[in-house]
Amino acid sequence: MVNETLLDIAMSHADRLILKAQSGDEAAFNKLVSLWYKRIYNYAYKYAGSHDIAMDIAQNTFIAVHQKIAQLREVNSFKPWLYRIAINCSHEEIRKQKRISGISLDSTFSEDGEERKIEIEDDLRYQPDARLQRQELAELIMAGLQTLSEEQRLVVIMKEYEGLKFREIADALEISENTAKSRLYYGLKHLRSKLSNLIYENQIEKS
Amino acid sequence: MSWKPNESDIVDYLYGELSPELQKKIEEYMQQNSDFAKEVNDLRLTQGILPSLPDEEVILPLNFTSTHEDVKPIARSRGWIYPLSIAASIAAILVVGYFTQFSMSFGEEGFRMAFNEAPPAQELSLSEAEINAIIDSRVNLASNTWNNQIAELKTSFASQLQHNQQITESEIKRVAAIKPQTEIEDEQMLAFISQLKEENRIMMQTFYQASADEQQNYMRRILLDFQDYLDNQRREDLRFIQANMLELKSTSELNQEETDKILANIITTVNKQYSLGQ
Repeated sequence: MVNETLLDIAMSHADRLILKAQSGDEAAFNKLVSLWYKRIYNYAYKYAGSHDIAMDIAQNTFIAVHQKIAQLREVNSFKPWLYRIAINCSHEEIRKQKRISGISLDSTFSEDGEERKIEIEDDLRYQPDARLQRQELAELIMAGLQTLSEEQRLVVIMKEYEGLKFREIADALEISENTAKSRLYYGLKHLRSKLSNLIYENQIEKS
Repeated sequence: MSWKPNESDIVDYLYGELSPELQKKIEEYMQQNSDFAKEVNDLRLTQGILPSLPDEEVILPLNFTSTHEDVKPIARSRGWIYPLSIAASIAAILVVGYFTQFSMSFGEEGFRMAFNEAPPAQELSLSEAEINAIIDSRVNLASNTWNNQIAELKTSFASQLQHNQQITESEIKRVAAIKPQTEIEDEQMLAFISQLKEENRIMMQTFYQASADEQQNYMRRILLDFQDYLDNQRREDLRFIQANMLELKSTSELNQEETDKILANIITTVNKQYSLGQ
């Protein structure tokens, strides 16, 4: 987050709200939800690539937060703790979607860290028109994210879009900082290969 | 040069989290190794394109915790179903409300709902004179009721007494006619009658006393109940006002604190930018 908004500032000063929510103050908890809901929804949306699933993940995340917030030991670790819950809810939701659909989604939601088999459509491979519309660009990046392995995708989203520090990502995923950096490195490399045409176009426009 | 940056170093370099020494070392390595420089540059370009995927706007849930025990997720299945169902419900309410001339209002007299034309609002607050008038009217009503009942009982009792007396006299006459030669003397007969009258008098007196006591107890209960009602009402009002004041105070303190922190942060940011600008 390069440009810090008032919401970001409020989120970074939510210690008192968290303490109040821990003591059972429903109004304080509602404020916490209003501060973090958009972030968690957007994390979930980029992770799952679906509005409906993202809504369910965000909702279940805050239900779990409400149930467990009293167990949070350090207020300072709220952010990685919140994302850890969101990640768990994401896994649960994806499993549920698999059960409901009855279709194997291994190709789109692999959990073993291997690269996903799905490929971006061919239209990404040939030279696009001179200028992509912003919407199209966003859609292609979204599609690119969905081609990452789950481990890489989580780290890329948390670092690039959620602005977490490596220490916080490591805490949320319960891995080492070096592992988080390694996943990010390979995630960016993979995206680079998938979005090479877009990057090329973007570079031309900027120059 | 045997040293080569690892993945962690490259990522730290991309995100500007390297120490100055290590950063300088990597830059030197890049100058000597064009393939590595290209790789880092490609990663930086990839990093640069990712912000083109903007945040999605989302509608926040209202009062999230109000349903935490028996949560029914707002968008459990499909997001569009809920706005649609809410819209349908509102439309149905509006249609029904239109045909039944349903009206709602909220004013100093409180929240009111009515079909057709709303009746004039009742004045809820009572003055002392009005309370006294209510008490007087209730007392008068109870008094009238009791007086009527007493009068009825009195009439009934008097007629019964008269009836008994007639029976007694007729019995005496019958006995006297049947047994003119009886040994009962007139004095005994008179004593018996006077005893009967005395018993009747005592019975009447007891009855009046009992009814008066009961009436008094009834009035006392009415007044005590009314006093309890007023006391409870006052206590409830005070509790409600106190709860609202406490909540208002808590919210104000919280908002004040958050505002102070935000302002402090803004001031710090502005000062930093100003000092950097200088």
